[in-house]
Amino acid sequence: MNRHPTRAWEALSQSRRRWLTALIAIPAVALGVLLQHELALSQPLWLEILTIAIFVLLFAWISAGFWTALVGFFVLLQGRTRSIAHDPEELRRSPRPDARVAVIMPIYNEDPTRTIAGLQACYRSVQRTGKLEHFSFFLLSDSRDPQSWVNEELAWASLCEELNAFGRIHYRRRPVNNHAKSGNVADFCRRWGKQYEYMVVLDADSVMAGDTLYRMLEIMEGNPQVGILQTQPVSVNRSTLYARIQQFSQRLYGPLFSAGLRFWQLGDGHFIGHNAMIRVAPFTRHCALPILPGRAPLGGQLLSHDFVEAALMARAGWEVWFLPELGGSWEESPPTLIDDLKRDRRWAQGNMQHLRLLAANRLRSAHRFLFINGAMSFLAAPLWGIFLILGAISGLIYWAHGGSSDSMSLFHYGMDNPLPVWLFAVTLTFLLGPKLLAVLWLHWSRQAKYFGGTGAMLLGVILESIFAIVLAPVRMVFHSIFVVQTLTGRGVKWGAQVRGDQETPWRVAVRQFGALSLIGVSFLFAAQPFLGFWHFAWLLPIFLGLALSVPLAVFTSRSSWGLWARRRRLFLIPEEIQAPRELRELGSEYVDFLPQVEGDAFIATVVDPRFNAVHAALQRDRAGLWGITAALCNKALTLGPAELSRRERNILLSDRQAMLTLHRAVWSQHEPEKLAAWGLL
Amino acid sequence: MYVDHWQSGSAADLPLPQATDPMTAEDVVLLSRMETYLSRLPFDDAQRLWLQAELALQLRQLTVDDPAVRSARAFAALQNRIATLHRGDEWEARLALSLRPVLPAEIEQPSRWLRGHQMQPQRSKMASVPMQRSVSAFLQRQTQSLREFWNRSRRLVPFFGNVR
Repeated sequence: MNRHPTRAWEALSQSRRRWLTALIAIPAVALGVLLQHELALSQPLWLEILTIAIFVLLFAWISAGFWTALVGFFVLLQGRTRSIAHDPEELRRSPRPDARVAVIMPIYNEDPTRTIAGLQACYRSVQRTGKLEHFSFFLLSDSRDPQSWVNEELAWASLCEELNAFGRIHYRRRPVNNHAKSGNVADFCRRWGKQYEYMVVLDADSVMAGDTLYRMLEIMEGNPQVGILQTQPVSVNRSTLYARIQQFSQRLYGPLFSAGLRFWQLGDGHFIGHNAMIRVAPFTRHCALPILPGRAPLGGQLLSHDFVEAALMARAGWEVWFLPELGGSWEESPPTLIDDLKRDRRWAQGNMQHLRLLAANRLRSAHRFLFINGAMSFLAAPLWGIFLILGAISGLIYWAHGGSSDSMSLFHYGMDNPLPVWLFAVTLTFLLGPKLLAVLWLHWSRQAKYFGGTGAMLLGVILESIFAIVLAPVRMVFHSIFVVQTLTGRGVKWGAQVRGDQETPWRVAVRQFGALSLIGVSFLFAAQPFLGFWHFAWLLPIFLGLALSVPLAVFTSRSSWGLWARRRRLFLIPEEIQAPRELRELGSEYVDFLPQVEGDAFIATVVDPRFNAVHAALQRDRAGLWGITAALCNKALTLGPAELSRRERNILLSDRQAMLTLHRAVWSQHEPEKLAAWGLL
Repeated sequence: MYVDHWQSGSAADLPLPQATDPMTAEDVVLLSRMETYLSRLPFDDAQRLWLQAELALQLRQLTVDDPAVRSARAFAALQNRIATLHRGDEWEARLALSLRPVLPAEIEQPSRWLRGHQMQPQRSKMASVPMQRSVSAFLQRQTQSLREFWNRSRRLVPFFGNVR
């Protein structure tokens, strides 16, 4: 299939992006010049140049967000995000009867209860649309842990039984999980890609509404030039205070940024790796990820695949559209600060790797910008850190020349030199402006009631802003560490993500943030006498944020605090006031049909006659391994299952005859200690 | 070394049952274990009663005293009886029982039915496309496009120079 010959949106998007470039560059350079006037007489040249360069970079970075939000604000005020004539949504078409979509959920050592609940919610939602004939569902497991594997498999069988969906919901476990999630998706494309025109990628914590999935299919059918359709997943379902604040801020400010992004990007949109529909044939043909020369972390496999896949799709001439207005797309955010930072650690490495693709031939400039933008979300932290250090050096020079703290007071500023006030005010406007615009939009569009009412929403915004300010230095330190670790060759391993609401114990928080807190407290006490009151006051949010990191991590990880805030209508989001059916169906009562595997799932699969029969039916006879499996069966029966390593269990589980033989042999035993080892006494 | 007594348990030349033979304490324990096994499979009442009776009968028939052999033969006998419920294949019988709510009645081989409901792969290739990532080549390309842009501008706006 070839791309569509005409691209009506391209000229418009180029013009818009030129405007964006000008809006970012001109104020940043202008403020840099103004700052130069301020610093020229008081600072040495090297300090002046470094300070101005970092200021311009950081200001450009925050202004990109500000202009995006501002444009989004006006787009939303107009009441429509579709701003061009040949918008893909307007060209949607009823799908052909043979149009087939694979909804795939790659998983890795996940809790099957949650993944099955999510898959079931999607399935039932599609079923309610009456268009199930177009959709198939795949649970693509990369789990290495035999416990997870067996649990997933049994949960899948029960789900199929519950929904009578054998043949429509499929389970596949990859024995060798190279290239992590992107490798898992690529494996799907290689095996089954030919049988599907489209695929929808879901994360283990994703849910999508059937109406949304069908609408995406209609859009794809009507727009044969579109390669990827990306929705905006909304963070939901968490109860810890930390996650509820994140949900609130994303739900409140997100629409502005999304509308703005869509305005700039048009058909050169981004892809976040999930909650998106992909045209399989061009994806298979063009989006296999390159392996970067050199060793990890900057070389080797790409850790963040999504941006690169979007760039490769666009490079091959296909369009990538971000459709935030579609709705019906949800995900779950990390429950605690520590989990959030763990995710950032992976993203930091992945985004830094993207810089090595910047010079690649035939990439669209919009995607080069996305690579830079992604890297800047982590590089901004060390830049801000260096900026603070430069500020401290300036301060020392200032004090050495007999400066007084009073000249830094809010009341003194602007008296003889208004420039610093202007710089501060502009920066503050660019940082906090989007929040204000979001509140204005929600107020005018009468949507504040979905956030607990205007009062609760405003209080939420104030508290969230304070939380974000206090947390900013903690993030700055950690992101800086991540960048330094990546640049110095310390890579990160692929691991399962935390999905449940787990509280952070004090000892864990002290281990992770203790040093930061100590530094913050030390500065709070040590710096004040040297800096004078007003200089100290300017730096207080940074010291305070560092000092409070341990209690912040602990208290915000508590569900009880999150639920307390919810009872007081704080940080409410529309999905908490009126949960969509798909989210209600994630409740435990909807998955009570799942088998209760108590204890060791490997033992249960050997011993339980039903589990054993189903598991064996899904394996093949691996005659080549029979020499090994015979020895392992003997080991399991003579020494007990506890003596088998994870690898040995995986080998046994993968061979049908081994599992049938073990089942028979275990039940034939008579020695009490051996029976006890298999849970039969 | 594990010894598989199950193989010998499947022998068909078992002596006829004597219903009046007493049951030993070991046999009661063994029977209870077999009951546990049966309880995990969704037999109907008639099947369950028949299996229980058959098992008790088989235990009484056993002439060997070695508990290892008795245990193995009892389980083998149980599996043989379960197999008779589904065309002689014990595993297929267990699978049929496990999938009973959704398995069509006419299906003879549940394992084949299950495999048939799995999507069969049709392999295709997915390999990364070569990418020129050299920075100097990138700069050359950018210079070239700038030059082209400049030439185009000169043609469009003659105020900036001679039009060729």
